[in-house]
Amino acid sequence: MNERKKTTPIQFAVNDRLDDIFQFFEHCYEQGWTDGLPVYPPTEKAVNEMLRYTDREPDENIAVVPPKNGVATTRTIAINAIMAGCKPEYLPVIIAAVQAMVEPEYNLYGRQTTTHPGAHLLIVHGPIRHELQVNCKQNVFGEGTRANATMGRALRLILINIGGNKPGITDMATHGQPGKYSFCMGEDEEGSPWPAFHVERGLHASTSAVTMLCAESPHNINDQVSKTPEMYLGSAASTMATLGGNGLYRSALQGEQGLVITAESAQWLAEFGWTKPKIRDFLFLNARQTVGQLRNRGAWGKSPLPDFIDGKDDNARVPIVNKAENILVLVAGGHQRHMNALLTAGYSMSITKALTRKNGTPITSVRDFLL
Amino acid sequence: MHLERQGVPTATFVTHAFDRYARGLCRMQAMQTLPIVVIAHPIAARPIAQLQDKVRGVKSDLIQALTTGPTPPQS
Repeated sequence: MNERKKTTPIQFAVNDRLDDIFQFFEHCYEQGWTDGLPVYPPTEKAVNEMLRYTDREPDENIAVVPPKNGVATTRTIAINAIMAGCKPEYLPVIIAAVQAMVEPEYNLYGRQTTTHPGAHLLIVHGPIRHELQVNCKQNVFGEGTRANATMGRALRLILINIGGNKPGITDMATHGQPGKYSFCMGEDEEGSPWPAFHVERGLHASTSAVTMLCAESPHNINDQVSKTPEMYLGSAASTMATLGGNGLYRSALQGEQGLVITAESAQWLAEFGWTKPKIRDFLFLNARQTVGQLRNRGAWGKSPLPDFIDGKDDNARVPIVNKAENILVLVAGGHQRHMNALLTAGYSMSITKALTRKNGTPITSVRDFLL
Repeated sequence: MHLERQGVPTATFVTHAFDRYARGLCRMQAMQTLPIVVIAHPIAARPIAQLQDKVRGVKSDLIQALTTGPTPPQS
């Protein structure tokens, strides 16, 4: 049985003077409690205000976070969320996201310690996106929106301070990627002609939820010209099946790869009768490389090929996942026909969690907790 | 670690670039005395003869790891 380490919050005084705030940040940085950026002081008042947005006890164990196996309690999650700059009402999202990351299929131990540049993408679904003003549109992976910036960052601080994530010591990412500071998006459900992602996973459209996906930096796919869905998505398939990507070499394992398309493109595809399942089928069949291309390069030989691929046939076409359902299609972003590939290490599954009360009842609003 | 916890002696190979990392993870997982065999970095895409030389150089560490009793979890 792994040892589980309960983190005891350390208390010290911070006066309401700017110099003290600066000293607070310097102290936090020296202690290794930050991502390198300034952090907010998690004062008792701020923590208590945030704890109003949950019906869980402050010292309730929410998750055991590897590799340190630190225990994330409601309070320590809130402390890190405040340090990241979160508003109090973001707490239900952060709690659900932490619960999602520690599901075994997510493989957080491996994701925290790998050389691969996976970052933890927080995807927000349902009405909560509007309530918290989560960006789903222009610059969805970029700067400028507090909810996206700070909720994604809160997860990183939780992984550092509770999970023991330390670059070069427990986190052996060869290069890492900027999303390791913060990585958060909402799905543009209103702009999409198709059922929302969380609805595809069995939740009601009115239920708010989060999905955690450990992904590389978004890789842009610019196709302004293609006149048919096959040509347009062919550009996506080509990008997703890049010879250096993990998927081609890990497709016998349980893993997923993702594609983000804009509402504009989604509606254009829908005009041709295309649906999310049809897009997944197309990408599964077309985002491939031949055995001859893959042999003796990349991560060749480190994992078996899917059992439906003959490894002796140089012309056999290897997919990036083991079945079409493991290609994730999300609608988000601004105007124009850019797409983004969300490629993964290939041995981690995304996890979706509804935002609920402690008894499992979905919340309709973060204000449910204030009633 | 999983095998050691089940009573199976193991030898975990790491290159020296990952030595501190491996020992840190062992400490976090309460397996500080897990036998770790360190070979020189790098190993990826190196000639097989070079890899064999590196492994020969740690033969005694390997034998010791596999002939020592399983690692009990530490507190």
